[in-house]
Amino acid sequence: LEHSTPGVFILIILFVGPVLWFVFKARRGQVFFLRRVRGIDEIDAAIGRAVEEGRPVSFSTGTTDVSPLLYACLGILHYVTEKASKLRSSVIVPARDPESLALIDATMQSAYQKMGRLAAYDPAQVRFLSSDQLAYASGYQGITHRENTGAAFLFGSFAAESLILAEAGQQVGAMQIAGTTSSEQIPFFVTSCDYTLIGEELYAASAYLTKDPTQLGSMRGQDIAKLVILALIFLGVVLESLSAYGVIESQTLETLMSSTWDSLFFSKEVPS
Amino acid sequence: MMRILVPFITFIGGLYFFLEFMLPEEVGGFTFGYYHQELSISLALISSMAVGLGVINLSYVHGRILIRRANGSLVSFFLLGSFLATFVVLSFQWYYNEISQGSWNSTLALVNYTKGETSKSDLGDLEVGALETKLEKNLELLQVLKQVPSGVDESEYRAHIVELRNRLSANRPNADLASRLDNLNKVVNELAVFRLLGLTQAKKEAESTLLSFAERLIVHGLFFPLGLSMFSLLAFYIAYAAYRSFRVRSLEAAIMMLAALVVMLGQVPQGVLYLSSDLPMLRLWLMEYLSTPAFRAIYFSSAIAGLSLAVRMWLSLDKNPFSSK
Repeated sequence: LEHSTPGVFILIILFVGPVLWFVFKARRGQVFFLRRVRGIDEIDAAIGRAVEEGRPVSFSTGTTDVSPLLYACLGILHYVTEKASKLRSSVIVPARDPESLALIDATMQSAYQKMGRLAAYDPAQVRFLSSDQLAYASGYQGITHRENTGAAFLFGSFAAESLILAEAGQQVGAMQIAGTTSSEQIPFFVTSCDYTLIGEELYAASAYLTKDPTQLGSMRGQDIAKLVILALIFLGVVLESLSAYGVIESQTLETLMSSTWDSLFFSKEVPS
Repeated sequence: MMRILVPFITFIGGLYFFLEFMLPEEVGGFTFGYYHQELSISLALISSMAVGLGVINLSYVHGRILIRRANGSLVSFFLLGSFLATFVVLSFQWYYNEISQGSWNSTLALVNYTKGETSKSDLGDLEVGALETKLEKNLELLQVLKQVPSGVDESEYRAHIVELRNRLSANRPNADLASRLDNLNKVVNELAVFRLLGLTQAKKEAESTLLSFAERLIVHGLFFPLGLSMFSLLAFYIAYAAYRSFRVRSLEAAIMMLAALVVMLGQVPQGVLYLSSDLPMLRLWLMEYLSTPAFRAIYFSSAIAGLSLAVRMWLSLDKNPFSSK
């Protein structure tokens, strides 16, 4: 079993502390500014366009299994479903992971319920295709072509199937918005989709759409955590430079981070 | 009630995994990792049950299309048909393999037990004698088995066991300890080889059946080639997407195309594309000094965002996307 070191514990406190502090402040009423993200702004436009053309909307979470990332995607799915149901359109969600399927189903039901249109929800809108990556891509392509989707949202983590999915939407002329944390797939989405959310923007989308104070506060806290990382990078550069000139011992930071709990608190002195 | 219960269970679950990772394996006599395996098994069980949800959904969606003879019913028919065929064939194949392996289980247990005992260093006359008696009795039981294991002829099987028994008892009187131990080892090794030969023969017999042919057809003849065909589509899509994005219509597109050109030519510096010996260096510089920092920045920000979302989930701070409130 792997275990953390006191260094990692301190880092987690440094990263999570600001997030919790700003969440607390946001809940007390402080308002935080969130910069505009074009891709998120265009979600409404994509749904509107699909509705005008009388075509359905599709939403894929790719290879995302049950994780915080899926939770972030479900926030966006909730918003997309709300909008689509309000405009009397339907959202098709091809699912790859059976566990996610249940959560997706619950999210869509709750969105329909919130809009007072639960009777309009059809469980067949959420379709389990296959856990196999390429079989999933094949099924997605089929749905995109048969249903002639007007807008396609691709949010989550993706692997080699990303381009197959995006090209399917491109072929039927769907307006596509993608968002992924899988850095290798970003170029594929950039070339094939109308808008692409990169990395953290996907996590920010839900906060942006719902204006939920907790999420907005968390965004500000994350900025502070990134500043901590920046400071650590700077500190690393300084320490490495000093060790290169022999001012301090080399690998000071590394030694500090890799010291175990045992060596700090539980170890006994070895008699010489 | 659920409003309190769900956040409470989430918090306790999160706290356990947090402490299990953060603290050393043992604190004040309490081992955090003690329950880890049991918890992991229970999570795996929940995941296995979720697979059933996928099957139910698949059957519901496509069964409905099929019953209503709606648009795409032919696709649904093939999907459900191939699902059923794959399920039946692979289930039978699995069952057949289990039966075949299971028929040799008692032999395997006997071999493993005897090998384990003979490897001990402090064996005396008494212990070796007890082992010989035990092995002989077990061989007697194997000899009178009603159902002989798979892959062997009944008369051949019984004759072989009798031969092993005879060899075991022939060496017992008046032999020294080392030669008796050596003989014991030889007998169990031969039993192990006999089992492997039987299993190999059973596998050969199974491969000649219709069931095995159906399995090979479905898995190796259809599933793999279809998957590879889908994967090969990527080559065309990449070329098409590259064509669209490399049309120089803006300054950004021009810079991107130039960088891509350098990377591509730097990747293949041999043959007719060998333009300059600096190209590979330039490619490396682009990848290491421009691309890598950008990707690392994405990793860092995604990791921080993931961590903060995980904490919000743990403490149930977020609005639940499954709730309509």
